[in-house]
Amino acid sequence: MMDRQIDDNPAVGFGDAPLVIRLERGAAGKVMAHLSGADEPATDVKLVRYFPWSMPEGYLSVRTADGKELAMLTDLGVLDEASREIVEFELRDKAFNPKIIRILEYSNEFGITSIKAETDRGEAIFQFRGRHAIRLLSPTRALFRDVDSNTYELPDFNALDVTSQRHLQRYF
Amino acid sequence: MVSDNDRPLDHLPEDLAQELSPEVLPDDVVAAAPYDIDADGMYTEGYLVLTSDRLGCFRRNNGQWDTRWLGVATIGKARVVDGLGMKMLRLTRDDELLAEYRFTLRHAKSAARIHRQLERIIGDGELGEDEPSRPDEKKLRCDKCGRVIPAWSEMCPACMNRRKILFRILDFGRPYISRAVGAFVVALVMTGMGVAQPWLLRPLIDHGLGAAKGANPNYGLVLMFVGIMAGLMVLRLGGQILQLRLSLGFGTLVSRSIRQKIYSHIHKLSLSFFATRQTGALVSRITQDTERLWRFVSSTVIEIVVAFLTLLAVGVCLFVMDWRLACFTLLPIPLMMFLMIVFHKRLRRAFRQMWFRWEQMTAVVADALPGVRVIKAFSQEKREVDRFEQRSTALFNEEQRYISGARSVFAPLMLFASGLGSIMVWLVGGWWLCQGQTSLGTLLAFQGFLTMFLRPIHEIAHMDEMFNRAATSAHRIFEILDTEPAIFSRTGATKADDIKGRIELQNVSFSYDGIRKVLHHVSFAVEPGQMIGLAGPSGGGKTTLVNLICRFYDAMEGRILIDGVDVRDYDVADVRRKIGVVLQEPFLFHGTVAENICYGKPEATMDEIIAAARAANANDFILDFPDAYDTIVGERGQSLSGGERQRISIARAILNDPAVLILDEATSSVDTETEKLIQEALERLTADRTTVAIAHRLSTLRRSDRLIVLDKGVVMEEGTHEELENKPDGLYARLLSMQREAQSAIGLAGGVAPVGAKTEVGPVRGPGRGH
Repeated sequence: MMDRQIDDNPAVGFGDAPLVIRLERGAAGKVMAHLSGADEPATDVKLVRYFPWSMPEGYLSVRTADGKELAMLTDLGVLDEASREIVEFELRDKAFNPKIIRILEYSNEFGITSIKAETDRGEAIFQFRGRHAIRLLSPTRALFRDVDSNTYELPDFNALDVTSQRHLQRYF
Repeated sequence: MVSDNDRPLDHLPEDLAQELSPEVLPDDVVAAAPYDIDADGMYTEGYLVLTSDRLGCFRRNNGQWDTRWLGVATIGKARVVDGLGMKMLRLTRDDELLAEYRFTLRHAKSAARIHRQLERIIGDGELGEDEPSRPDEKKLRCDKCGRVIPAWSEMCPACMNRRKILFRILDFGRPYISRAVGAFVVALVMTGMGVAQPWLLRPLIDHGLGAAKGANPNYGLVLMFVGIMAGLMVLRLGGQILQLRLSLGFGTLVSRSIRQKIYSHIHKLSLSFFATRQTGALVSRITQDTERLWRFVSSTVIEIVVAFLTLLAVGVCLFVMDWRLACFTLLPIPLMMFLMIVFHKRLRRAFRQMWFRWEQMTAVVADALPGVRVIKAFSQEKREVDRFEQRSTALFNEEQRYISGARSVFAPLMLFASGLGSIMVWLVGGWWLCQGQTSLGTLLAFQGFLTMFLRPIHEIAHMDEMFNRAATSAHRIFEILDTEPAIFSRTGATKADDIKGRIELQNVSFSYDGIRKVLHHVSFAVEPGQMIGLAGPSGGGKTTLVNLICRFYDAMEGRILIDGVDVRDYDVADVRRKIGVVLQEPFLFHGTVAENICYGKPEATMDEIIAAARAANANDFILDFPDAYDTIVGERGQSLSGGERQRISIARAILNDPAVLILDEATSSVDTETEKLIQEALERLTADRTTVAIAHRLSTLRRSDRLIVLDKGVVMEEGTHEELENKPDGLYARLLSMQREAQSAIGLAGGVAPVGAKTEVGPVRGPGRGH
């Protein structure tokens, strides 16, 4: 049972939340979840990240289509390979979060910064304004949010080439 | 690649439009949207084109368009699903996925539009009017060039025509043109007199002091020249005073007209205008921008003209006096120009960097100070101080770089360069003087002229910046003046004199942002004198509904009728006068209690004001104040409790005697005694008036003739309190039992705790958009 307590604080804990035993594909590509303590699998579940940016690989919430939490998944290791593949596919498929590989062009005009970048999803041009557009997730990892609220992740500043680094120096 | 289209109907790529052309004509296209993510999650360039019977999907593939047509009749259901960082348009039939198209958030709006039209065709086969355009909403991108528009501007700074804009400001000065012309003429004369001063040095020295070859000192001549100089000085003194009076006066007149015009225009604009802008930014437009224009109109224009004239006049004088010496003297000028251009760029770049750090630092302060209670309560002062020091040091480092890199070098270099001219005069002129080819008077006159050069050059170098700044300010002002209100009275609008108060909503849908609908096909009617309670969890759409009835916004689909007439056909001000509003957190203006009560009816008599206050159960507490009805309330005035403010706003509504009353109940609980007083007041107010109440209190819920329960923008239940209370599995019954549980848990007496207030209500929480 997932009966976690945080330190010795009796006020917080996860109670008797059910565990995810196995995931499988149901009709029309819907994801079905077998949960502990339930005879029938839950159909059409959604996987939602608790911390999409600060901890994208851990902490998932298993929810019904209309947004009710069924279970919490913190360790993919407990799942069999087929279930893990479903998780990985779902997370990639239902999210669009390009990662910046290289800065191709950088310009600033009237306070609007425009960046043309090579990302793992192809080439992107995006614009943002002001300091709120950049969030440092760590000293070398940053998230850019453009004027349309799209996000672009820079996984590691130090891994960039020199030209790209020079363009983005000011944010670090 | 991300494509650059915001209005796909106009902007389908040409080759796609051509490909479509024989089969599909522009008029057949109901909606079109670019989609930019492919099935593998990679960027792509694709378009969806919807006609009345089929949906085309086009994807660019090596210069060709991969095409797929889908008959709308085969689509069972169209849904937009939110992903992380994208939207998915999912088309299904009997649970089978027909197609899925993915959009980055940039195209979320067009995706929502195509989805809406698809739903309509699938639903009833009828094409409706799409969302009304809201011309006063802030645009994200420029229509012309696609650039993102900065937050401080209304329109693309790259596309604005600076010259035209500046002429438009001067247009405001047309009524006062005589002052401007006067100032200009005086400035011209003054320039001439200014140049005459050094010119007089030559005869003074050469002939008066006898420096010229063969001349003897002549004090009579000296006196004459000194007299002329002194006369000129006196004239210039008078001229300067006159010029400043004229030009500053002209500036203030112009800025007054602009200021008043923009403020009155702002009040014509609708709520959507204010919802997409910050109040602070608007305040700065009325104050700062007009102030900047004042400076521009009153001094910059004349300064620039004078600078050019001075340069010209001084240049001519130098060449006339001694053209060979003039050539040498002016040698450093190109060097100065060059320095200015180079440093100008460097300074600006360094300044931007500094600004960036400065913003980061002030953000820490702005963030922390409002939360100072929390900081103290958790004793995190040190962390906040550290955070500030870190940012402050970053700013310091940037400042150091700015100072050592450009700022400390620029001004001395400029002085040095201008000093070079003076050196030239002594070097070359001195030699010619020794050779007897020129006179001491000429050399000293040259020195005098040289000192006149620096300022105009500096002004001309900064001219671009000054014009830019003024043009930007002017633009921000004109953009507001040019904004058409989204809510306006149609010509020939119906007068709303005798409204009985019948309200009917027919199939009303609404979205604030054009993407997410907050009301879906809401229909109901309220008979005159009836009271309707709107209940339901927060985010259900209650406030939005009220906003539409008051016509703060126009419905996207469907109609709202008051006494059988579409609200859009009434005169806006007229219909609002007939609708009274009591808000959850009543706003009191700075002024006396009496002034606040008669805000909607300034001509009310004292008797009326007192009667209204009595009816609102406000009389007693008002008389408890030492200044009674003359007590100053609002900002910096007597502080009132929530219950007191509410009763004042009820009095305000009673005095206005509206046919329709909108009641947004306070959710915060007040003590039982006050609650009773407010209830009594509300009963008097709502008697015989059509009332639409956003109801939280049991007392109001019971008293309503009918309740409408909204959740996520959909009418879930409708009926009397008793009917809904006993409905098994009903949303209202659930909310009610939760409220009762909460009450018994806290031990609250009297049924005060709110139902579905802006607190959490289990799993039925809506998307929560507090408008």
